[in-house]
Amino acid sequence: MAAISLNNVAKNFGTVEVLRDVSLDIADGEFLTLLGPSGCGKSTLLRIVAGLERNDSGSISIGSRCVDALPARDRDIAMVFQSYALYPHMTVAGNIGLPLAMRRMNVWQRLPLVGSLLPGSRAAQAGITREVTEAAQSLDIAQLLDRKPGQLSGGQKQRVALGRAMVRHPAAFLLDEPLSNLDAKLRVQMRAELTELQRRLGATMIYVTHDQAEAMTMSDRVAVMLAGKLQQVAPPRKLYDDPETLAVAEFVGSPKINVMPADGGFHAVRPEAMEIVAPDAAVAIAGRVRLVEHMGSESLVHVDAPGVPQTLIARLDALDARDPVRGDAVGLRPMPGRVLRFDAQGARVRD
Amino acid sequence: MTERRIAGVLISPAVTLFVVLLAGPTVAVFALSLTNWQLGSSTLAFIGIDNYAQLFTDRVFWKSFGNTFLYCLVVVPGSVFLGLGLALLIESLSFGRGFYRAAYFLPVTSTLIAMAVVWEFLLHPTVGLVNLTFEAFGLKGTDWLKNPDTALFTLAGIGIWQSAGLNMVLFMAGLKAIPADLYEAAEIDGAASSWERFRCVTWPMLGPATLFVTVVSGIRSFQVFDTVEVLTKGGPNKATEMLLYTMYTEAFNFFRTGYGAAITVVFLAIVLVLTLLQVRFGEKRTHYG
Repeated sequence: MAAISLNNVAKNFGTVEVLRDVSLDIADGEFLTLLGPSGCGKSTLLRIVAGLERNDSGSISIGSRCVDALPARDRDIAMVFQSYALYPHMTVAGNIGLPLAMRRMNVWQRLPLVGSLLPGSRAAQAGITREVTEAAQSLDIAQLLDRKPGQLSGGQKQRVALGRAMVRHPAAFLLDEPLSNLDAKLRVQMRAELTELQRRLGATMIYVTHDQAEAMTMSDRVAVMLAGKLQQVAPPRKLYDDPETLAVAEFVGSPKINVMPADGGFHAVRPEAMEIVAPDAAVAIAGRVRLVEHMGSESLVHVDAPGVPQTLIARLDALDARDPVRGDAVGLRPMPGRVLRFDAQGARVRD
Repeated sequence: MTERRIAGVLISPAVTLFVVLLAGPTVAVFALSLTNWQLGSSTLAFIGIDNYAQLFTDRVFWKSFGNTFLYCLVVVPGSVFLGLGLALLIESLSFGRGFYRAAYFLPVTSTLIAMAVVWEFLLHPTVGLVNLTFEAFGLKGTDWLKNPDTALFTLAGIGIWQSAGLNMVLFMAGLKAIPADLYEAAEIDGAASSWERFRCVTWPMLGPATLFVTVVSGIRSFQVFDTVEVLTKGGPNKATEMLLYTMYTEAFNFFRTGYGAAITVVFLAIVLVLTLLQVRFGEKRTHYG
C-alpha cells in the first residue's frame, strides 16, 4: 500500500482542455472518490494515474516513486473497469491468476502443456493457485473458479474483477465506475462490501463515480471535479455542510440546494434547513406550493416564490405531519445559521 | 386455419426455394451418378455403383484428390495467416488504412480468370517479372507452370494472393469487435510486449473470426478451378489436376456426365465432412464472449 500524490497534472485532447492543474495527495490506506458529472475528466485522471494515458504536464508519484516514465504494468497498481474487462476465454481462476502468472513465469513457462514441463513452472503454478484460491475465498467466489466469465452474473463478474485486482497486493486500487453496471439492489450491497474490503485490506483506493450516494457512503474523502478542475476535496460530511463553491453546493446533495440571489451574490440553503411558516411571517420568503412529493420518511414541498428563479424545496420530516397541499400560500424561512453565502463568482463568503 | 397450417404456409417459400435450388439439384446429381448418361444422349441406363467403382480405381481421380488436398493444405494456412497479418498491420497504422485495405482487397473483387492471364505474364519463363527478379538476385528461375515440381505450388501462391484480402477484411471486422478495455486490463496485468497482448487478448478474442475464415477459405480453396483452367489445364502430367477440374473435363469435355456426377457427389461429401469437422472441432475452442 502506498500514498499517491498528483502535482499540477494537466491534459489536453487536441484543443480541448480535459484536466486543468490538478493537485491532490491521497494518504496511504485512504478511500478517495473522484466525483463529477460525465465528461468532467475524472476517468481521464484515473487513467493517467494508471498509466493508460499520458499527462501533458505535471507529475505523479506512487509511494515515494515518481511514475511518470513508467508504463502501466510497472506502476504496481490494479484497476477495476466498468465493463470488468475479464478475459472471456479463461476460467475465473485463470483470470484472477493472470497478473501473477505474467510476473512470475516467463513466456515459455506460460505455454499450455509444454510449459508445465519446464523447470520451476510447477512450483510457480502451485503458488499462484494457492493465492488465487485465497483471494477467491475472501470474495466468496471459490466455488466459481472453474467457470468462464460468460457463465457468471454481473455481481459475480464484479467479484472476479476485484479478485484479479487484489491477488497481486498492489500499491493502490483504481476503480472506474465499478458498480454502474449492476442493478440497484446489488449496487447498494456491493457498496458496503467494497468499503469493508478496503478497510480489511488497508488498501489505498481511488474510486471514480458520478453517483453521489456511492461517493458519500464509501469515501474517506471526496474530490469533486467539474469541467476538468478539482473544486473541493473533503470528507463527505464536510463537503455537504461546508462547500467551498456554489458549484459544489449545487452538485452535491439531492434534492438540490436552494439558491436565492441576495446581496449581489447568492444565498444557498439545504432543503432540510428550510422551515415552512405562515406566509406573512417576518424574515420569510412568501410563495405558493407547486408540488408535494411524499417519500415515506419525508415530504418534499416545492414552492414557487416571486423573485427567485429556481423552485425552492423544503424537506419536511414525516413525523411533522403538517404537509401543506398544492396551491397553499406558505412562507419559507431558512433556519438560523444554516445559510451558505456565495459571492457573484460562486466563491464562498465566510463571516 | 390451424396454427400448424399457417406455419406450413409461412415456411413454404423457403422450403420451395430450398428444394428447387439446393435439394433438387443435389438429388438429381446423385441420381445421374448412378447412370451411364452422356451429355446430349437420348438414352441412359441405370448402372448402380459402377461409376463409383471405376472412380476408386481411377489413377487420375486419386491424383486429383491428393492434389486438391495438398493445395488446400498450402492455401488455407497461407491465406488465413497472411490475412491476419495484414489486418493487424493495417489496423496498427495511423494513416492510410483505407488505401491499404482497398489495395489488398482488390484481388478479391477482380475476376480471377482475367488475373490469371496477368499471372501468366508475370510467370513467363524468359520475360516474366518473377524470373527477371530471380535473375537480378543471381538466382535461377524456372518455368513455374510447366515444371511438375512447382506448378501446384505456383497455383497455391496465386490462390493465397487471391483470398488473403477477403480474410483480411473478415479479421479486421473481428479486431474492431475487441473491447479496448481488455487490452488495458492486459497492460495493467503485466502483458509487456505486443506479442503478449496478442496471445492474451487478440488471438483468443478472434476465435470466432478465425473459425469462420478457416472454414470459408477451406471451402473456397477446395473449389479451385479458374486458375487450373486458364494456366495449366491440369498439367504438366496431371501435376495440377484438381477435383473440380477433373469433374469438369469428364462431364463437359468427354461428355461422361454420369461419371462427372459421381465425382461431384464425392466432392460434395468431402466439403460437407470438412465443414462439420471444422465447426465441431472449432466450436469447442471458440469463445463468443
